[in-house]
Amino acid sequence: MNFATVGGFVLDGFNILALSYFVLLNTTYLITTILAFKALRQYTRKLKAVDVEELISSAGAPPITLIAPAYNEEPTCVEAVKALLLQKYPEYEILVINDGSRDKTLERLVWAFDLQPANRLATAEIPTAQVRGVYQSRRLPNLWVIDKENGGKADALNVGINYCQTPLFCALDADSLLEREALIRVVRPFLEDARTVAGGGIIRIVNDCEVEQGQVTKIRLPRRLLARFQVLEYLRAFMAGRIGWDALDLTLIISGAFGVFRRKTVVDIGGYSTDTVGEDMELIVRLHRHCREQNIPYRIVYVADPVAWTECPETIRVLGRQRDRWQRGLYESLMRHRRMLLNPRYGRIGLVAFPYFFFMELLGPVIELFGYFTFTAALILGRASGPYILAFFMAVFAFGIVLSVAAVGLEELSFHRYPRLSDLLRLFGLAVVENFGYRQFTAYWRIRGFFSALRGVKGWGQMERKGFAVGVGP
Amino acid sequence: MAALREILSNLVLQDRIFLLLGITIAILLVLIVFFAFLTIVLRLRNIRKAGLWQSLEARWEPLILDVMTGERSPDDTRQFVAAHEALYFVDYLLRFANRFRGREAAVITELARPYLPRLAARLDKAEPVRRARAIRTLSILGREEYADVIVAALDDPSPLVAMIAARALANQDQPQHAAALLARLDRFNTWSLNYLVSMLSAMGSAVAPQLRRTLGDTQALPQARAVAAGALRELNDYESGQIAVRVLETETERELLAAALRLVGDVGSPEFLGPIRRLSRSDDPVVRGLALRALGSLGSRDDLPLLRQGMDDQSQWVALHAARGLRQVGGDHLLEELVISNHSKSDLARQVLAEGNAS
Repeated sequence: MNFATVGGFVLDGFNILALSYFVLLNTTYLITTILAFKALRQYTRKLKAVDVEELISSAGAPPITLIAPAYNEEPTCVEAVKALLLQKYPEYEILVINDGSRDKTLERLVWAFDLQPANRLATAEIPTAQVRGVYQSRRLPNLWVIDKENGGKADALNVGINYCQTPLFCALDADSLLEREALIRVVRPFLEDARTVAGGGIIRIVNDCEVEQGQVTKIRLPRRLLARFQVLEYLRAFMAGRIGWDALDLTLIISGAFGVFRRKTVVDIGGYSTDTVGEDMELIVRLHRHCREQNIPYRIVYVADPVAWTECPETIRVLGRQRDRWQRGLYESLMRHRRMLLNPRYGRIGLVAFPYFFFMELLGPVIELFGYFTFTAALILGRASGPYILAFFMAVFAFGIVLSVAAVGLEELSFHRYPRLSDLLRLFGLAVVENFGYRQFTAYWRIRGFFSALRGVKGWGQMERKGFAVGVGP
Repeated sequence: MAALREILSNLVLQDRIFLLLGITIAILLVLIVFFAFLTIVLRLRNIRKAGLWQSLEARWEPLILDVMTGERSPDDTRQFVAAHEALYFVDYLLRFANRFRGREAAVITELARPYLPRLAARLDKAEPVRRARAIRTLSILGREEYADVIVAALDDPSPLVAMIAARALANQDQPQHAAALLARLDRFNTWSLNYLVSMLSAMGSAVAPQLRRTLGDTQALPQARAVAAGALRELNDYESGQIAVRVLETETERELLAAALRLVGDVGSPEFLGPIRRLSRSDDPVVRGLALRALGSLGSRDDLPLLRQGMDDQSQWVALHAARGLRQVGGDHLLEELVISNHSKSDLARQVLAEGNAS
């Protein structure tokens, strides 16, 4: 057997691997989309049977603390806190954690909400960077700001947990805008099933929507193409992905921008991990692991209708940094808990969800990259015909379009937040256009993130905020 | 078919893969068109539904206002509701029912009455979410007339339906249903204790005797007894103190002990201090903390040593209750001593002293 023959077999092997990855990944997406369709239909009907207002007025709704870490959030922090103050919920406190911001975040908050130094008792002792001061609003006694040395988002959240005095806490990004009923909706699973330890809601993109008094008043697609692509991407990830996984009771991620947790359980496992950039996913994986290892009955759920609006990156540079970070976070979370991989001790999490994220989401981009190389090599070496390669990529693109269009359909089936028909048609168009450039860029960033993680790169990179579009738009 | 088989058999592997890819692409294209079409249909359906509601509202709103002001009798409205619109009309009335009280609410109930049997018929065959919705509607618009249906729904196989029925009974302010509800508390064992407590206490003090029976019933589930204790506490039921003390003396289940300690702490008297003092040395920090809390409420200066000992507890939460207890029984001097010492809870002592000064 000569070198060329061996090389040919290796090439064919890689091609088959890439092909199998494509088939498996898209089949999984299709299955979760179908499950999401069923789950959403069921859920929207259930919403009609349950009176949310009644739950709101019920004294049984547990008190909750909203923890919003803020680092250099000067342009958006006041609007975001206003949104938190407008929550329809019987009893809640807001802890804004100023994580050593270098801009005027603290000064803006002090001025806007008439803050004064105050005492507040810590109820847990998760190690954190030093707290510099505690402030309480004179006008709004449920609003607190804790000023601390910079230690990163996870560290700021841990400070919030230490100062949290309620059975539940809600972890937020300081720039997220929570819809008024978001809390009561996301807390419902905690009322319905006392085993619930964590629940997350949907994240939607606020760029170019109109915001008044901290509430999104007019929803429309962003003007910039890059942000529009992300709207579609979020729809796919949340409407099809997370709802589908939740239908199988396999939620492995709750977004750091909006998640509610049982405080005691999180304190028991030592709070957020401060040495990863994917602290949100790492916490969920660790919760699964802890509860399974200790035989604690538990549920981690995704709820489809509570919404947190967030600003997405509008430049290639910032978006690239974000995706790089997400992939590093995924790597760190999965590698840290790799003993869960295919381990029956962790039930379906270890046997289904963890392997999916490990092989499809973590290693997938690398396989994809190899696929691009080996297909090109096969084409050059004459081991695959041009039309064959073309047909393969057409199938890949078509699958992507099917999933995107289905995600738009799921949105229309359930919450239909984009009221203009033109928005709907634009989303269809984006489903096609994103295959020519955007998807390749995201694959590149994920691969870059993977290799950065292998090199042990740390750090978040900077997110540039432009603030919310307030008042009447054009 | 034979010709197709022959064509396939003549293809080499690569051509077969190529053909497979072609078929896949064709199927995917069909799916794209299908999903896009479905989405557009859904959008049109949503627009049509919104339009239908607008026209129905425009037709019914003046009608209902006329009935409210007495210009029209409820019977006159029937001609404005077509048979296929009956359940829409009930949905529409439901919105009004939540807004009105007294005579107006009674008018709404009267308007809905002819259509409710049709809704009740759904309970036999509809899927759980529809049954749950029907129960909610019947409880609001049907009131006492459908109480039996709602009580029966407590045994519905769907937990959602059972819970909606329970909540509906609790909201109806009819204590006679408390027994039915308490007897089925085990159906709601996954629900949050606070939620169940709030539901039962919403029925008012008339349910207290039934709750006391449940709390004292050693055969009942500990969770049901804990819920009863919580509801009695919400109702400030002083007569239940003695029963709660018996629970403290005989039971070991944490949730039940915690609920009984909270109850005794709020409605008890100094004669109950024996078991509370014993439990303040429990191995369980939850029980220990709540016992110290109760000791603070009911105790005297005789309990200062026990409470001071609580300040040395490893658990911050237990120490917090001990510190607040010290304040309540006149142990400020002990807290002040802690503040100027290098004790690990000196910050806590300072905080609790500040809490008291603020109030």
